[in-house]
Amino acid sequence: MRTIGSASLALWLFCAANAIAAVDIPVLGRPTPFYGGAGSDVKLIVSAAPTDVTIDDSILLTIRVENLVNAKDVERINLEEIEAFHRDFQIADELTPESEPNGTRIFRYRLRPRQLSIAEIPRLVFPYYDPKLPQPADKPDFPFRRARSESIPIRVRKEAPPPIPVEPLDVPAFAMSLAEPKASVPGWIWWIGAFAPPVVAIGWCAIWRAINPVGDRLVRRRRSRAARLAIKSLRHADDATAIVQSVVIYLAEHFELPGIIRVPRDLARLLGDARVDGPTIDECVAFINASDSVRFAPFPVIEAEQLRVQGENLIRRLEGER
Amino acid sequence: MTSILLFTTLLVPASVQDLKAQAEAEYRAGLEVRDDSAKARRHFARSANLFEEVWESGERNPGLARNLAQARFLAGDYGRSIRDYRRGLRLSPYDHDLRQGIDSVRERAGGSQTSTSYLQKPTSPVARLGVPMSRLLLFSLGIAAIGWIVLARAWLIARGTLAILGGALVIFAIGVGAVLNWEDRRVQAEWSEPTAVVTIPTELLMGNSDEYPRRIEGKIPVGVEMKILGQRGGWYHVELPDGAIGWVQQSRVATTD
Repeated sequence: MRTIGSASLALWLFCAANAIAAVDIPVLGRPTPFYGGAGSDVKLIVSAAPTDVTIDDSILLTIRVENLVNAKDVERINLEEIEAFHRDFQIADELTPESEPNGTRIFRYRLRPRQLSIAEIPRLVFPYYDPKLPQPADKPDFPFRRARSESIPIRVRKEAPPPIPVEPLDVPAFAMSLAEPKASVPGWIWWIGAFAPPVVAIGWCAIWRAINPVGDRLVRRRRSRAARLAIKSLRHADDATAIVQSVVIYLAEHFELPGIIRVPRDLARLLGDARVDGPTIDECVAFINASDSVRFAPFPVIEAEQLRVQGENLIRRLEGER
Repeated sequence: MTSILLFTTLLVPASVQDLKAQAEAEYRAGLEVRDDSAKARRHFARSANLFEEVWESGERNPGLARNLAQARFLAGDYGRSIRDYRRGLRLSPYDHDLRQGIDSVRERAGGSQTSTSYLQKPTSPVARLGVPMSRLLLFSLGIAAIGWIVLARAWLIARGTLAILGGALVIFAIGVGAVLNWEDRRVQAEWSEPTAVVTIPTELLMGNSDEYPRRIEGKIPVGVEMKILGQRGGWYHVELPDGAIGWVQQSRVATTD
């Protein structure tokens, strides 16, 4: 009994479905274009991907029509016939998925933008017949309704530049490091280098000459040496003969007197030959005479100590000290 | 007011130091990513801009000029790189690193272009020796020192031959010094003269307008250095190294001044 009931219900449902699928759509009042869709509260859902494309890319457009009662009878929407689509896109049909939900049709298209300025996919209108609506004789288009979709904004860019192959940068050795602060040779160093050699050479000569005198300077130096030695020997002389000998040696050195001096007359002659002035000759001769008196007179006028002082005074005066 | 001036005085050097530090950091970042030339060049370009700001702030020295020129070179801007090397050589004409750098960049810039006579610059006999000026100067001073010592010795021992030798050495050294002084003045003048370096290939025209005919065929390649003779209305009156004189647009050259 239950089996018979179930079979009856299935048969009823089959008949009902066939009765709906085979809905009779009136010709009068049918809009153009019309794709044969029928149903109540039919929904049109349009989606696109991707929406940011280059001029050479294409967009997959999916149109989904839901709540149809005759889904199998609905024709594919010909987008080429719609002016906005034909103007803006190159259109190619894509395959419809094999499995569609009951009461739903899905259409897919491949759209390629014709210009960079295209900013949207136009809105679509899907007319359909609603069998639940009355069909007044004076308004034959009343049961025909329209499902609408919104436009979809898109962005079309220029053709993307070809990817640049990654290449290493040739960095020469001199550019591998940054400049380090370095000290430069100041200009005055070069000037010192230029003037130092002559200054050093002149200084060298001057020092050399100071150490090794020649000419008059050498003579003066010799004289001064003779005076030093004479005064030294005078201070150590213990008798008149040694005193006279020291002074005579000094006089010979000082005036560069040649020969031997035995008597005051010899001294006077040699001094005269050496162009010594008269007062000096007289003074020297007087000293020799005084020394003779100290040495040979039975009653000397002066003592040996006085003679030493007189001799030293004579030397100092001849050296220009007094 | 005083505090504002003091604050400004303290602030300016600090900001210049910061700029230098940033520029050096960008340079090192460029070296680190040199396996990718595009990325590296962006770092070097930023580094060059920062070094340029430091230069414009008044801190000008040969080392900064070298860094700036190197950054420009690695960023691919050969024309401005040569200009910046010239700026450094104006401050220090005998800087070995700057000389080596500008020669390398000139070679690169010239190598990428058609070889033309105006890329070749005549050099002086002293420059052709290839010996650094400091060594020549040291040689001259050394000869002079030996000459003076020989002269002094000759005077001390009264030797005429030795005196002639010493005098000849001193006179020779003075002669070499005079030649070096002439060369130094020439070099200083060469690096100091206002110069324009081509940054974008440009034509040499007979007047300061696009309507004038060309002075020479073809375009002057990047990196060619020209002496500036004058300027008028966005154009420079220039002289090429081979002596050709004409006009180039200011926007296509970089100048040392």
